[in-house]
Amino acid sequence: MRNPAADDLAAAVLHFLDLYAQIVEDHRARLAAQGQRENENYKRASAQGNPALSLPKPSRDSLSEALLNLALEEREALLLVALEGFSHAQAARILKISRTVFIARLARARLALGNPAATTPPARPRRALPSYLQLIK
Amino acid sequence: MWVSGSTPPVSEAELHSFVDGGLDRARREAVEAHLATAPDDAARVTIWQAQNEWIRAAFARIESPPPAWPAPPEPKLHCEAVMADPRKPGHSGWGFEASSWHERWFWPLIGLAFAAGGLATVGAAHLLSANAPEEGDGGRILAPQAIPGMAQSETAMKGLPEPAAPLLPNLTFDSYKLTGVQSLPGHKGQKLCLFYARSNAGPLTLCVESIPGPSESPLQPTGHSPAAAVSWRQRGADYVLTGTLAEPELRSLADSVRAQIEAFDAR
Repeated sequence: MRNPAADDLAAAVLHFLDLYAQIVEDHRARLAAQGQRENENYKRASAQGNPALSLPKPSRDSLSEALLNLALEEREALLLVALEGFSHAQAARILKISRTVFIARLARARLALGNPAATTPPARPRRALPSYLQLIK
Repeated sequence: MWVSGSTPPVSEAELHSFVDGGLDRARREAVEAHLATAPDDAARVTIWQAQNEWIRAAFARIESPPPAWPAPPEPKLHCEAVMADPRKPGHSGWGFEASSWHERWFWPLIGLAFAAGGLATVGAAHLLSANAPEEGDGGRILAPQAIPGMAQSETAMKGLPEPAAPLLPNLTFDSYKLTGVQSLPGHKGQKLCLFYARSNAGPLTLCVESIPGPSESPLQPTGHSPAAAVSWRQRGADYVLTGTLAEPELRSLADSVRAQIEAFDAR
């Protein structure tokens, strides 16, 4: 006998995954817009003869660097399971791809990420502690 | 693609599922047996597991909730818990110390999720305090701060009678984090579904719907993993807990939720 409450819940979970898919798509659009802006800035600065000023190099740890080197779809596949904890089937639904394609992306991401033991573990930069001593002039 | 040298054969996909915790017990044991005889695959799996740990460790601090949101309530829901200041020792805050990659990738996702929730905060509070369900409420995402009986707390502070709202337990124990709330059409009115996630497991959903009159029923498991659910009736509400967990774990969690609701004292 089917439990209507369980069916409702299954539908709610699917709705949640679809919402997540929309968030992923929004993020892709933001990244695309950001990349376009950076390109325009670079071209503008190059035209002025100073390309170095247009692309400031932020300090990144080795993990950030490794993740940035992944293709966007590979990074999405890896982070959905490794960070967000979705199952492969759920992540494939979020990305709107088949499970086979998802596994291929995940495999490529893991291959490209390399062995963490061979690199320095990510050290989170410490925030400067607030000083409780005030300079009085 | 099949990995050779094992019986039963273990696929590449199953190796990844093994790392990500998506295999049932039989296949997990088959993969373990395969890894014992295939050092190359075992080395790859070890690296993948280390990668997962690497990522989780790096993002552990910035996964903390932002200070602008009220702290998650204690198991016994009080208005003090809702109003608590999250800026307590050990709270990592927004995590702006994150590198630029984190700001580009992670926070846009989380920010969008919270923004979606924030848009419906007012509607959520209204829903919790109103006895009669509204039409067209389905599909709203509610903010976490509207979840834990906010309407109850406010009316309790003003000395007004408590509305007939169901008790919403807090699943922040066992590493679960609230990721969203949604109101959906129920069998008799509106029901609230709370979505939780844990870093090393799939999402968990708890739905609650008020029912007239006090009645109780024992835990009733339905379905099998990954679509297993446990439902029960308690203190004037129907509760349904579902997730990708195995039934014993789901039942254990349901017992905890049930005990939490039972222990709740509205006074």
